[in-house]
Amino acid sequence: MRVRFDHVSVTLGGRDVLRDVDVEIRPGRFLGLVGPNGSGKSTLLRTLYRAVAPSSGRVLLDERDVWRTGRREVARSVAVMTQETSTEFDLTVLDAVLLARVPFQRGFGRDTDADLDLAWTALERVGAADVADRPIGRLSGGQRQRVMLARALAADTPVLVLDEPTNHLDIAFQLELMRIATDLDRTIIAALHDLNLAATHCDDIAVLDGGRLVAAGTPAEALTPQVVEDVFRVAVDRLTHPRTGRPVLVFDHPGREPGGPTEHRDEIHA
Amino acid sequence: MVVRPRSPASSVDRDRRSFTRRSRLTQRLTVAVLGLAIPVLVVVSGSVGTVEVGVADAARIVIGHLAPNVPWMSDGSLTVLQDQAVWQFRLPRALLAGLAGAGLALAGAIMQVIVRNPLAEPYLLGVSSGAGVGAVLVITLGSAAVGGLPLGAAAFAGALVAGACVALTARHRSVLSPTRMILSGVALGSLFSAVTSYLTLTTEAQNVFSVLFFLLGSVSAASMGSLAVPAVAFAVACAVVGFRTRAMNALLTGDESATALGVDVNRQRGVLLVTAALLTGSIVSVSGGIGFVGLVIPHVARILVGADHRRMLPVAVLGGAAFLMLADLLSRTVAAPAEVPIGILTAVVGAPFFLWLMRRDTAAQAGLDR
Repeated sequence: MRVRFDHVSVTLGGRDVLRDVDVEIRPGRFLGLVGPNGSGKSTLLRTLYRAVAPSSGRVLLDERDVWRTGRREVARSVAVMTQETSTEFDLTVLDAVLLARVPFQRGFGRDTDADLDLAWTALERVGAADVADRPIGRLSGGQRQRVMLARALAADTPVLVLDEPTNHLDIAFQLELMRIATDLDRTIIAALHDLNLAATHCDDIAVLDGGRLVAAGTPAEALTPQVVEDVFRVAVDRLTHPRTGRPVLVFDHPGREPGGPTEHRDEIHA
Repeated sequence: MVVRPRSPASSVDRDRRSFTRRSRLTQRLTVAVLGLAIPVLVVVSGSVGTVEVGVADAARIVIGHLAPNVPWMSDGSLTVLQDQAVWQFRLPRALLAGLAGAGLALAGAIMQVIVRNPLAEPYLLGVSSGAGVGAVLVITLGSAAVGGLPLGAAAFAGALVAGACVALTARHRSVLSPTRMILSGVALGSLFSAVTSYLTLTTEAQNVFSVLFFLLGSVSAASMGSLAVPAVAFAVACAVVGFRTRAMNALLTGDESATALGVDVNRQRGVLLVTAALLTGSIVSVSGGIGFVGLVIPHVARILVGADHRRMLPVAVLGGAAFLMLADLLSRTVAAPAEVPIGILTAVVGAPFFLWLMRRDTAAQAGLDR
């Protein structure tokens, strides 16, 4: 399914959070959304799953405007891994994953075998099947993220939204999560903080800064040292990975002289 | 977390099946036990009191009124006094106790979801203190003070006014935020309680007893007629909630993820809020402010069968009914012939039981360790 943000602007409390963002994700592609904190990544995602309405522009799933389509119908096409989940009342892990089936069911009915199958398959895929009967509140942050990912997978939708999915995750599961995502044959949009993780796993990258789209394209096109320096206000060097030959970005404090330690460094050592 | 290699399919399938079966079994067993306890409690309630009626006779009287042409109703084996005691006094109060317990447990479960807070209860919206003002106005100043409304109707009106005030003050930019609801409920609740206290202090001494009896809650004045309004409210509430159990589950995980699951959070919260307020108001206006049930029974249900509303709500509703019927039975017997207000008994019986349950390991499983 194709996702298109068609000149989307969002104003919240008088502040322009997004300004005329225009991005298209072709079916089956994986778009990484990067940008500093507060650049509007989450807000852009939220216009897609109907949590924030654009003040102008449209968000399209194929040809359908999500804001002129029913909530449930949108939820049947778009599954979301949100940043946080409330655990005041603990559902078990399996029940939490089964919530993915909410848009497809109604009322008191029991979960169908097909629903249970999707939930278990998702739990096995993220390696959390062995904690299926535990309350989510008792899991570590990383385990909880696995369960949130399993929920998004169990929805079995053509579009997947991941809002900072690698938060709280150790490096091994960060890589595992990106592998799981790239192996899926779905349209994926993920807000990511780790630029190298985004560059190595995403098909396309969109860079947001202050609510504007400042660069978009393949990782090599979008994540040039110049763009990263301007947007994140850090010093950037592009190195070549010794084994894979892929470009790797390394960062330092802004204003550093290339090639030598800064005065700031010396002070720390002294 | 250790990432285990995937187990062979057959053993995984076995795990899945036993897992699902186990959780279904607990729930069905609990529902069955409670479902059996309720008719037993009705009959036992019918046989307890100053007019002597055996358990079997009480059952025969109840059945005799429900089924047509039963021989024992006209063969003189039961006295008129026995028939009246069971059918006109004991049965209505047992049924009202059951209805109030079921309704308050349901309203409590709804409120806990709406504000996503384990301390929420049906009276959070100021509904009971509003009802208190209505009832106390009638007791102290007479019906004329509230436009000729009888006590029950005045209490119901007070409950609705209070609920509406809380909902309106909690609304901001057409969003009902849980925190604002809790705070405005607490604030307006104390305002209404202050009015009630003032009216109580300034009235004649003989009225104070009636006021306290209402505030503590009682089902002793029940008649078949007084059951009608709460029964209808309860039926409507069950229908409203029945179509929303999955949405309520989604609400447990937070507004953002519920929205992502296609739930219209604001609208569902509004509908559930009105449902809980009407249900609570209709019960409080008949039975007064019976405490404890609405707060604790939903937690007991969660500890027993988990937080999924499809499993938890039937247990909470039946458990609330059985619990209040038992409390009513005790309230009539422990200090007979005097009567202990049911609201005092629910706390005295319920608090130790809940504290015991809360300290067990299964409660930690249900998330009470945080």
